[in-house]
Amino acid sequence: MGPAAESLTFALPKGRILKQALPVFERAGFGFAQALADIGRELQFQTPAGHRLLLVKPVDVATYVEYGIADIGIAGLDSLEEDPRDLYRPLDLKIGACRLAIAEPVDRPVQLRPGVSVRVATKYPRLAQQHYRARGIQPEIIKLFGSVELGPITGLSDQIVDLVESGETLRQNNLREVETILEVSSRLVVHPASLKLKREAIRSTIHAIATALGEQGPTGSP
Amino acid sequence: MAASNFPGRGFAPLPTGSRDLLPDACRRREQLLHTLVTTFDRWGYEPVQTPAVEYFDVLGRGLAPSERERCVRFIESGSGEVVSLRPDVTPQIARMVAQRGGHRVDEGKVLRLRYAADVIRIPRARHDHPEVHQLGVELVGDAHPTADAELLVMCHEALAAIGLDGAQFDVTHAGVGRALFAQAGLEPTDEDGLRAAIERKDAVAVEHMLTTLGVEKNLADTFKSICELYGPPEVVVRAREILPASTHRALHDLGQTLQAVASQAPACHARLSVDLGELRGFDYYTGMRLRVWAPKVPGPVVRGGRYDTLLRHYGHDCPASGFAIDLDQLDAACDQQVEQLRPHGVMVTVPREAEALRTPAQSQARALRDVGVRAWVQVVTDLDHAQRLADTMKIGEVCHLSPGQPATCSHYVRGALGWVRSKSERL
Repeated sequence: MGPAAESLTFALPKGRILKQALPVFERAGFGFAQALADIGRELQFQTPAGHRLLLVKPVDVATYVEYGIADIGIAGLDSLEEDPRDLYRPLDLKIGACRLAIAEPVDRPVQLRPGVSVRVATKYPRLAQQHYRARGIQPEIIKLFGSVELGPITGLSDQIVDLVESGETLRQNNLREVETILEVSSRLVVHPASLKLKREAIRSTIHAIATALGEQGPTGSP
Repeated sequence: MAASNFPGRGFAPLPTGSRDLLPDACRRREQLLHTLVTTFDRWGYEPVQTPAVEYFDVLGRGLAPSERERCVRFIESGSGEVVSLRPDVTPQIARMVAQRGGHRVDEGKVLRLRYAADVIRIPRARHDHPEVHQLGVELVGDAHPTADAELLVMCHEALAAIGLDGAQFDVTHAGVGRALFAQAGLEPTDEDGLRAAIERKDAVAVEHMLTTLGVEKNLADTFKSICELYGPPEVVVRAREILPASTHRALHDLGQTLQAVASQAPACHARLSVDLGELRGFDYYTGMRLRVWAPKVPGPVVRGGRYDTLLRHYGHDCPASGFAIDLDQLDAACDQQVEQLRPHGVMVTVPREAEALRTPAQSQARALRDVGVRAWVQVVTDLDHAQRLADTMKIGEVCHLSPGQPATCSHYVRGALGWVRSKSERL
């Protein structure tokens, strides 16, 4: 089934994830790739099928959907879990796969046992805090916005909690992965009101994307 | 926070989410309220009022744990008891009825109550406001599914009366999820996790959890299927084929409610949808659950449902059902749809230096009010000032008093081409 007639607004993450997501949308019958190729630096535009696309920073996707500006978006599970919002997550797009993990210097391992004091540099203070606490450890969390690997190298922190894809960056910085906190991939997110108010359009969109992903999608309308 | 944290005396900020309603917005709000209240009153709902502050122990008995966390609490001076600002009116009504009106329910009387109140809760999502202006109704003493239909139809009628088009009435039945979780017998934390995943319609996480928790295949398939059981009212029929017998009682009740709505108000039935994967408020509601969504607003404009076990916590066992309208969300949803109400009336103006005319001006205003015209006194520099002021206030009529021998009182009316004197008289 192709995309529905009713117009929807999509919040799409600029950059790498979008490149991986486009073939999926193409297979699902959405002509996004051509529309995206035709635009210059615009951040908002209309597709020939009448859908509206918003190009936003990946971490902002969930915000646009949460406030109902966009009906549907693509957001990483990392940002959805770090900053929980009341959104539906009907599909795993299986792109942008990586994991949120604890890493530490190869030559300065920390014994993670209850009561130990540990300084942790991360872009994910909430998830890090939650994970350490569940292990009976009260960490000192240091929030960073980038180059988290530098934390242990400079002595800012003992460990880091960061996204790991191949592990190459860790190796280059003489760090090793200690444990995985969360398996991450990009998810389709949907605003609850959109699912209720534009049910058939949203449903057929989810179905088309699920089919394009080659998995068992939602069954058709009853 | 100390006032000194805000540099510059000129800026007096409000806490995040708090806001004032200026006259135009407030007039609109009053209009909305009036229409809604008139509808509820016509259906026989009586007004009640509950206190803004209660003992936390008492209030908390009627709140889900997640709601208790959101209470703004402090210590009552003198007693040292913990008191809380009301985060929800329904437990207060439950307390009030259980303590004061329970015997009337026992005698077979159904209580129909309505309230308008501000509730205060610590925000959860970012578009949550800490202060919610609510208008709600409670129907106490009728356990039948048709009582829920009454609420749905009345709610639809009230929203239609204020001109809100395109609202979607999304219903479910708490008994469905309850039956399935009872069958699964999970640890509370596992149950919370699975429930949250189902609420997000996150089939991947649901599947993963079911496997990890070792839920047997039939039941696992059932949990997976309720993520997909949303759509038009016919979903209930399909659900009865898929879901185990333990849920059939709940599905039957929900079907009866929907059927009653269909025969009483087809227009309302056309706006109904069912979502059996909607498990929110699971530990509070016992039957039908309602959320109404409207175009252009991020949150539900109405929340409600049946809570047959709530009054028990306050010493009287009787069924009840109700809903509350979030007036801020409703206001936003009606933005384009409710006509701006212009204040009307006559502004009686008097020049600043003519102090002796202030009392006669008040007499003029009173004479107008006595015949039902909105009228008030405004001090001005001159007639021109009076008319400019009236223009900015969109007032169409000015009654200007001028000193002199004799002093006069002249009426001016705003016409298409400007202000025209309609009559003039000696004072």
